[in-house]
Parts: sequence; C-alpha cells; structure tokens
Amino acid sequence: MQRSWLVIVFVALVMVDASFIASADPPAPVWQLPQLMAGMQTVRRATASFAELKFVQMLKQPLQTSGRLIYVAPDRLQKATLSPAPSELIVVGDHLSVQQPDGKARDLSLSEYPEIGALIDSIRATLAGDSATLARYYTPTLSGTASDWVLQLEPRDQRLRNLLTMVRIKGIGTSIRGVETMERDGDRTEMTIMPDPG
Amino acid sequence: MMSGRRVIIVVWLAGLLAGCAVIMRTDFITDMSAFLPRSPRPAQQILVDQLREGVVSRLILLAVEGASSDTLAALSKAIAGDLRADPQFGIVSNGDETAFARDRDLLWRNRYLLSPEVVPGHFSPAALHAALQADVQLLGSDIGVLAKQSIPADPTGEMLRLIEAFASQSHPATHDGVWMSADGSRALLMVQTVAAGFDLDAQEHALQRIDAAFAAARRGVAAEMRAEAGKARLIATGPPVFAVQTRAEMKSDVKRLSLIATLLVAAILLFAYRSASMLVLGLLPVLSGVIAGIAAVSLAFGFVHGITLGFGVTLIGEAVDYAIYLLTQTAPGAAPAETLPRIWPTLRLGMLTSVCGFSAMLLSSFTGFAQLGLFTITGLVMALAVTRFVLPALLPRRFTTTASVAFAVPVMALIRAGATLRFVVLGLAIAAVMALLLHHGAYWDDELASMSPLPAGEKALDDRLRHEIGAPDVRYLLVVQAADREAALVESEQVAARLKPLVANGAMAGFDAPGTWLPSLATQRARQAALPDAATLAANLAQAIDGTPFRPDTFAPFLADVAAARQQPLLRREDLNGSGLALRIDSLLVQTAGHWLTMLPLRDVSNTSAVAEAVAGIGDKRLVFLDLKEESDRLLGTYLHEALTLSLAGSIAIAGLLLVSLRSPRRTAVVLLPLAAAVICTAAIMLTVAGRLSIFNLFGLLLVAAVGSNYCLFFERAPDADDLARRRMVASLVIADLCTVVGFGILSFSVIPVLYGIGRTVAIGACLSLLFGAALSADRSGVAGRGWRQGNHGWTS
Repeated sequence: MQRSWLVIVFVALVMVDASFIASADPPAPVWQLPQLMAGMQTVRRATASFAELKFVQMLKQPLQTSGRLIYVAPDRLQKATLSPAPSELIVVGDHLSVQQPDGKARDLSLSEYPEIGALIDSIRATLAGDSATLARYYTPTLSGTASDWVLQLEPRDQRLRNLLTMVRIKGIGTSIRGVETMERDGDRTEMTIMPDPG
Repeated sequence: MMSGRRVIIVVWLAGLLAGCAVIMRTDFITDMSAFLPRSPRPAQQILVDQLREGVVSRLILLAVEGASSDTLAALSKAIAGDLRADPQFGIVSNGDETAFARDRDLLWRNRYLLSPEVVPGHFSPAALHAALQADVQLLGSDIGVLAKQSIPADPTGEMLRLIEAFASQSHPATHDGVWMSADGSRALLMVQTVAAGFDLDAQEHALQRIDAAFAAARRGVAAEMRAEAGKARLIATGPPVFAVQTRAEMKSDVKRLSLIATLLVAAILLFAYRSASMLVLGLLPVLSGVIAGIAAVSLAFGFVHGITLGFGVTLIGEAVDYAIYLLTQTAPGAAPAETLPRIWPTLRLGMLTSVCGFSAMLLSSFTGFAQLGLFTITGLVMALAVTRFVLPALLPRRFTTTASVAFAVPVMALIRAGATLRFVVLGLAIAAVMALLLHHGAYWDDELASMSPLPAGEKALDDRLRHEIGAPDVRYLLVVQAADREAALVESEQVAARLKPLVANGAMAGFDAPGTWLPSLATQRARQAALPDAATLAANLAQAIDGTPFRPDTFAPFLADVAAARQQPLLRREDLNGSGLALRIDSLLVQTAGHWLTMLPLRDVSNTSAVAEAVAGIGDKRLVFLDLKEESDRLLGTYLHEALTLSLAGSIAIAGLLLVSLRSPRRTAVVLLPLAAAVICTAAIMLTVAGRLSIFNLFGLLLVAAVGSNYCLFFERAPDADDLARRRMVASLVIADLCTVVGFGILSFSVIPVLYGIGRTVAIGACLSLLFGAALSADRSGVAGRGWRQGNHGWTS
C-alpha cells in the first residue's frame, strides 16, 4: 500500500538521524558496520533542527520544510514541522500519530502495511544496533570513515523495492547529518540535520 | 370382556399409528418466530429478523494463537485464502488488503458518482484552487505520499474520502499484512456466513469448514514453521458459534442427563415393581401422551416448535405418575380394574387440575406458549386415558407390588407427627413469604443476556476479540421501510441527511447507510449533472493552477476522468456483485415480505434522547429507531409478564375447579394450602439462591403446581381409604415423587439455564409438596381419626 509508506520512511530516517545526533564517540580503529551499530546503542536522547527538500515531479519547484527533531531511546520520535505550515508527527513503538496542517489528526499503526513495517523495523534495528534484523530487510553498505561515513540501505523485499530504490544516510561519528530517500518513480527527499550543540 | 379389551387395544394402537403418521409429516421449527407475539410491534419484528438472519447473527470471529507472529500470519493467510474460495462464506477479512482490490477498483471508477462532495460549484476555479493548495500542503507533509499517486487524476481527493469512509471502522494492528492483536499473540479474522444465523445446520457446517481450513493451513505452512503451527490453536466466537455450541451442549446434556435420570427412575420403579414388563407398561401412558401431544400441535398449528417439544415432554412428566398410582395402589392379587374406581376420581381431578393450570397458556399471544399449552393438555388427557382404559387391559392378572409399601414408611411417620409439623410448615411458609416480601431489587430477571447459556468466560472472550478486531457491536438501528429498492435508497438518503448534524454535534460517532456505497439513481444523476463539461473544467483548472507550484500538464488524467464520469452508466446493485461493497449493501438493504427495509446502524450513540428526538422530528411513521438491547429485553419482559398473568389465571382456575369438584371450601383449602406453601417456599429458595427468578423458574413452579396438586388431592382423599390402601397410596406418592425429584434433580446439574432452572425448581418443589401435603394431611386425620378405620367407602365395593 502506498499509503503512508513515505511517512514511515521519513520517520525511520529521522529516527536514524536523531540517534546519530550528538555525543561523538572516539572513532574505532577499523570502521565497519559492527562498530557503527555499537556506537548507535550508546545514544539515549538527541535533539536537532532539520531542513528538508522534496523533489516531486508534478511540482515545478521543490517543497521546502524545516523544523525540530527529538529522539528518545529506544522508540520515541517527534518531528515538529514549523515552516511553511505547522504540523507534528509522533511515533512511539508501533503507534504513529500525525497532526496535519489542516488540523486533522490521524493515528496509524506502523505495522499496518508490510512494506512500512519492514522499513520501520529495519531502521529501528539500525538504531538499536541490531544488524541481524537490519539484514533481514536491507542490504547495508557502509563506506567512508568514522568521521565521515555513508550507510546505503538497499531494499531486499520485492514489494519494498517497487516503491523505494535506496536510502542513503550520511553521518559523522554517531551523529547523522543527512538522509536521502530515492523513490522508484524518481521523486526524492533530501534532509539536512543540524544537531543541537552539546 | 376379551373382545372389549381387544377393541380398546386396537383403537389405542390405531390412534398411536395415526399420531405417528402425523408426526412423520410434521415440520419441526427451531427459529425464534414462535417467540414473537402474534401481532408484533414493527420493532420486535425487525429485532427477531435481525437475530434470525441479520449481519450480526452471521458474524464469526476467529483468533489463531499459540505460535510466533510470523507463523500466525502465515496461518491466517492460508485460512482466509481457503475460506474466500468457499461460496458459503460472504466476507472473509483478515486485514489482507489484496482482498479489497475489487472494492478499490469500484470506488475509484465510480468516485464521482459516489462522493457526496460532488455538488455544483465543487469544480469552480476557486474551489479547485483551494483543493490544489491543499494538495501542495499534503505533498509537503509527512503523509504526502498518501495522495501522491492519486493527485493527478483526483486533485479534489474524492477517493481519499471514500477510502476513509470505507475503512472507517477501526481495525486492529497488522503483522505481515494480516490483523494481529497488539501484543502479536493472536492473528485475528472475521468471517460472515452467507447462510442466516438461525440456520444452525448451515452454521455448524460452516464451523466445521473453518476447522478444516485451519487443519489444512497447519499442514500447508512452510516447513520451518510446521512444528510451531502444530501447536497453534484456533478460537472461534460469535453468535453462530454460540448457537451451534449451545445446541450441541443442550443435545449432549439432555442425552447424558436424561440417560442418567432414566436409569435412576427405572431403578426405582424396578425396585418398586420387581418386574421389567411392568416398568415398560408404566411408560406407555406418557409415551402415548407425547405422541398425541405432538400430533395435536402439528394439526392445530401446522408445525411444531422444537422448544414446545422440549418443554412439553418435561411438563407432562406428571403422566409417569399416573401409571405409578395405578400399579402401586393395586393390592396384591387384585385386578387393576378393581383399584381404578377407587383412585379414578382423584386421578381425574388431578389431571383436570393440571389441564386447568395449563389451559391459560392456550390463550397466549405467543405461539410458543399456545403450542405448549395444547401439547400439555392433549398429552395429559391421552396419558390418563391410556392409564384408565389401556393399561388395565394389558396388565397381567396377577402382579404384586408388595415391596413398594416400604416406601410409605417415612412419610407415614411424617403424617403421624403432623400435629406438630404443621406448625413447622406454617413457620416455613411465613419465613418464605417474608423472604419474598423483604427481597431487595427486582424479582424477575428480565435481561435476555442472563438467559443466554453462554458461560461468562466465553462472553469475555467474545468481548475481547470483538474489541481487538473492532467488529461492530450494533445496539442502535434506524430502520426505513419502502415499497422498492430505489424508494428505500431515496428515503434512507433523506434520513441520512437529517442524521449528519447528530454526528457533528457528537450525539453519535457515525452511522452506516446503504446510500454511501449505492446512492439512489436520482442522487447519482444529480452528481453527474454537477460535473462541468470538458471545456469549462479545463478553463477552471487553468485558472486554479495559477499561483500553485503544480506543472500545468499534471492534471490531464483528471480532465479525462471527469469527462468520462459525465457519460458513465449509473452504478447499480448488479455492478457490485462479488465485491465487499455488495455485502455491505445487502446487509443494510434487505427485501422482506413485499417491501424493502433499509437499516442504518448507528455507531457509539452517546446521546440516545437527542437521536430519538431527531428521528421523531423527521416525522416518518415508517421510520423506526430500534434499540436492540432494550427491544430484546422488552420482548422478554412481555413474555415474562404474560407467563405470570397466565400462571395467575391458571391458579385461579385450579382453585375454582377444586371448589366445584370437592364442593367444600374446607377440603379445597386442605388441597391448596400445602401446595401453596410448597410453591411459595420453592420460589423463596430460588430467589434467595439466585437473587432473581427467571422465566424458567416460573415454568418449574407451574410444573410443581401440576404435580403437587396430585399429591395433595391423594392426601385429601386418604381418610376415605382403609389403612393398607392408604399405605399403598402413600407409597405410590413417594415413588412418583422420588421419580420426579431424581428426574428433575439430575437436570439441575446441566450448564444450560433452561435445564437447571426448571430442574432445580421442580426437584425442590415436588419434594416440598409431598412433605407439606403429608404433614398437613395429619391435621385432618387428627380431627377425624375415625376416618382411617372407616373402611371401604363404597368405591372399592
């Protein structure tokens, strides 16, 4: 189901972002996925600002949004969009609630659709440092160094592949700095994350 | 003499054969219709129809548990796939979205006919511009992708609205695409049978089919899941499950308990008679009575209700006593023909008393009651006739029941101690009256739910699954009547329009209406007319798109779809065949007896009076606001009230009969006082134990009155008999009473409210009738002690 999968991608990415925010550990001697995963587990709480660009083919120019992100381990994430119109998204566990700009509230279950469930669960696995679960849904490829890395997640499941080509996460230490989502139809989203100092 | 005997036996056998012939051609009915008053209120008729065949009556909830979520999901998919291919199931839902592909397709292709937003002005430049701006916001928001794929063809979001309405019922969480309880321990499914709820054979078959599907699913899962799947369990709840289960339990309970009771009663009688053939002969009157009763009901009503049969056979249990009285009271070596004249007046009066008690039921406005009355009366008359005329002809010339006199000993002791015991009886009666008077709260249980044979655990399980699945537990319904389908749709649309404000102001959460998925043709035409022509729409869109970031060519699919919608054939019921929409429509729009009913189930009504007021405000007499719970409780209340009235009328008739037959108020009192004391004490015990009396207790009390009146009549006649005859008489009462107490006492071990309600009441009541009758009869023997030694009083000569 197309419904809300992007939301979840979004949420997932944001969660990854948030968990990477702040508290940089000293780089491990060999920079590989296990080291990244171990580092992720140490992040308990993070706050950041974000700016997002959405490239949608039916629009002449990209949509720009910005706002705040708050992550609390193990499974709570809040994304408050402040501009251009205020809206808010909160995920706790399996439960997702959205406050739309028009004032409507929606409650969704993340596991309502298999693609979304797979997506969110695998991203969560990244946050939790659970590489086994991550590998169940994605083929992860880590490149770069501990101080400037890129984690590429390629969907394994065919239904997920029909929607999503690739998720690319950029980070510094245990801090995520950017998430790029590429959709099958050519639309994409770029999110830049600026961790709060401290 | 011999020829006379033969004639009697031939006539009797011919009668039985004729009765059997009638029974062979009788329709036995088990649905609720016999429990409708003969001239039901429309609401009651709808209620019964709903209970018989409504959507709710056909809904089965399933849960698979006892394995990991992955395995449960695989099992759920396999079961659902299997059942969907079976035409006896209408809807099979397990959360699998692919099952709704046809519905989505129908909604998408007909969105401009179905959307209530399509009115003139909906596609004006200003309205379109606002819609496009909302689309931009949506695209930028976190749930933008919800609409992304449909925006080019549906910028005004008609499909989203329809889908939201379609999925408006809350759904459980899903795992791997299927419904799963929040903790992942149960896969949930919802199944609706095509067969009506009252068709228990079909429901039983459907449940077996579900079991088979589960078994096949367990075998069919992937190899790595098989071990786990072997441990999984299937749980089914819902009205069809309960109905089938209750029937099965009732059958097995009746079979088991009646077997035990029969064996015990047979043992008592064998001990008393010391003869197997006598035992068999003793059952002939009651068997003949049952056959005659069924045949009479069948001839008078054209059908026999299952409940009539079940209750009726219990109610004429009294007939077993007739043979006991005759056989036990016949002196050794004497011919039964000599005993008969002595006991016949008492037997006849006893039978007439019972007939009087039951005849009030003939007048009942419930077919079920009336059938029961006719069955019982015919059965008792027949049983007594067989005892009077056939039994003596069949009995061996020399039989003896000497041993049975031993049964009389304890009761004889009671009679002797009667002078003091009568105060005990009086005290008990006073205590019972006090208990009845001082009882707090309602006397009668008038909630239908408490008559349900469902154990509390089953009900709780049903509630839990219903909650987890989000299945509708409909309590309030609006029902609209019309001459044909189109008129029904038009009327229900008018009613729906009046209901919308109630949803807006929070009096209820929402409602379902058939017009949502199948608007009347007039409404569809109006929507088509509200769609602008191609040129106008293109111009409006060009104007609207100005000032938005949308590329101008984005909405070509929209222009094409609206142009097509202006010409498309209107949606008719036939177009929905095979879809979930068709099933929704068919459950909301039904044809009954020459007219069409539209049902509008209301969800979560919080302000009942506001809804009732609004409905009254519509001013349509054919519009019914139905509270299913209240209506079913009211039906039971009517039922209970009538049963009480009839019992009272029966009691008065019995008193009148006794007064006329005994020609003495004092003798009448001697018969009625112990009986009344027994009934009152029994009622008090039942009330104290259970807190409330049920309609089944009332039936039991009726039976106590019927059986107990015989005892009291015999006791009342006793002083007229010689000592040995008197002892035989007492022995016959004790044996009859033992049989009744054992027979009904066994029933009280049943889990079915009907069975234990009647069983306990009769066992206690019959026992008390005998004891009180004995204790109070001493009153007379004390005063008129000479009566005992008066010897023959003419009947035996």
